[in-house]
Amino acid sequence: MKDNARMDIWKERGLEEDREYAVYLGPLCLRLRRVEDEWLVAYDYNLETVSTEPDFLEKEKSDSVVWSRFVVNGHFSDIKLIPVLPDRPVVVSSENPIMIMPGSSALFFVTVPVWVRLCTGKNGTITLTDIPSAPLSNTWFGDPLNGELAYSSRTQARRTAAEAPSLPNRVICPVRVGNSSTEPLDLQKLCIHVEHLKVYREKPGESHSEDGGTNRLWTNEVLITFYGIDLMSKIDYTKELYPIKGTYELMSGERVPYDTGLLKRSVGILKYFTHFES
Amino acid sequence: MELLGELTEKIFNIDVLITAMRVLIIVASGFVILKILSFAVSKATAKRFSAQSTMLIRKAIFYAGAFIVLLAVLKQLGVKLTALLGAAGIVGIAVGFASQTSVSNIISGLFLISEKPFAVNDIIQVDNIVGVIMSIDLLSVKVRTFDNQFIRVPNEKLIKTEVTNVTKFPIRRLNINLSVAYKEDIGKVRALLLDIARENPYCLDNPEPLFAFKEFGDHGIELMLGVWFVKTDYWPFKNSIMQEIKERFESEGIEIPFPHISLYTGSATHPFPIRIEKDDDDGKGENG
Repeated sequence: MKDNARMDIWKERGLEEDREYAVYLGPLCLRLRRVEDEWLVAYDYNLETVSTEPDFLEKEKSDSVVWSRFVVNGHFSDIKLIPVLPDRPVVVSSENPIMIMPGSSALFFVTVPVWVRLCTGKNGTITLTDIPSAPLSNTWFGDPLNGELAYSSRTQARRTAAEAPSLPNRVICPVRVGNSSTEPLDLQKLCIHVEHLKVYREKPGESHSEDGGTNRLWTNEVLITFYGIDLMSKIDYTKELYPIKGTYELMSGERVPYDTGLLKRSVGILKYFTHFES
Repeated sequence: MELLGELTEKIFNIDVLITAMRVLIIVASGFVILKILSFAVSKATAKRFSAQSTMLIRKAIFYAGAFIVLLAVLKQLGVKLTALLGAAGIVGIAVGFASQTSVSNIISGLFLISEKPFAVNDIIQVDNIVGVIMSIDLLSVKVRTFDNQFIRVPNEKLIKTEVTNVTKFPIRRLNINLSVAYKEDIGKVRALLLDIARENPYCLDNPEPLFAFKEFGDHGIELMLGVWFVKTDYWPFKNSIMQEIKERFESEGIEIPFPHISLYTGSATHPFPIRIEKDDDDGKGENG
């Protein structure tokens, strides 16, 4: 049985010099070592045995690891891991087709793998690097001339917070999709600009089973309004948080502040061409 | 002594001095005004036009202005402009005949700048030249090849020949042509190829990879796998997916046929009978 201190990987902690530590978060296995003014960081993924609980523990030194080295002036012994969102938009594809009728709206809970930001220095002001907690595949959203590069993720698009999976390396993003057009909306995929979202955590000790979670990570709510296939959809990255029984604590801010009123094509209902050309 | 006095009087004649002062003022003020004007125009056009067009406008303004300043200076010096312009016309015709290629390149350069088939830092292919565009000038386009050679391509050639802009669009498709032996299960090969594409980190999920059955070839079944990638990932993507296809085909026992000819004696199932003969010491043959 792991203790709570080990499982709470997001709290700041001091590392002994020249000792090796391992952090397990979903498929991510992160290794850390501090040698004088250097931080040594290495990581890999174990996709076969994904850990369902996060863990932070001391490990024996391994010689086979290829380290990335970060030199920091000043002998700081503390390291802080911060959950942040990916650096590019995430295109979420629904595993089952969803139709939203004209005039209707629906709230979906989609999950996105977090990235782990390693910070040291006074109050964690020095960022060493960001590491994805799971390998994400690349995708293209839009047409081949004017689209944008994004990460791809599949979701079951759960309809209630209790159903949203409580995975340690995934953040739950509430997305409300409204159809203001006169045609049914065939929701195949959503492009969420996660760089405009903040990460919150349910405060430890305030989890409620009826919400379905224990210390889960959340983002603020995304509102998408669909006006028609040829019109731009309206996206609003609100400051609202999905109401839960407990309270939230802010873990990280947005990477890029959102320019309100921005219109973007965020609902993909077109199938892109892959015609054979001899 | 008297001669020196006359010379000094002629040189430092008040009219000459006034003319010299006027010329100086025209040249100095003209140069300053032209500099300010071209700077202001380039600033104003920088947001609307490309760097190449801005440079062209700036140079056009500067040289046109310099020509006007020159005419003004000549007028101050008492040179008859009508005669000069007439002579310049004759000289112009002679120079024009002599510099047809340069003029053709300049006009081609203007077309290239207005048409914008490529821009600085694009990768282009012209005949056997593949490289990154360093600059697009009035006479030529400067290209740096990937083995770090400098190549000057005349603009006229670029107008006349087919130019491929490799990096015009953000994503590209790599068409991998391959063939498998006739005995292979095409459904299994298709699933395997799509699985390789799905697992490759450089391969885009969307647009989806394309599998195509091309034809029944001479040596095997011709297939194509079309996979999309971000243009900057060309080499890592190509190297990794080619290696993965080879390794997975080997591990799954899928045969990649090489050109060969099978000989049959009327039946497609029975091999051609071969008799091996060996020379014995006594010269008699042996059947195998």
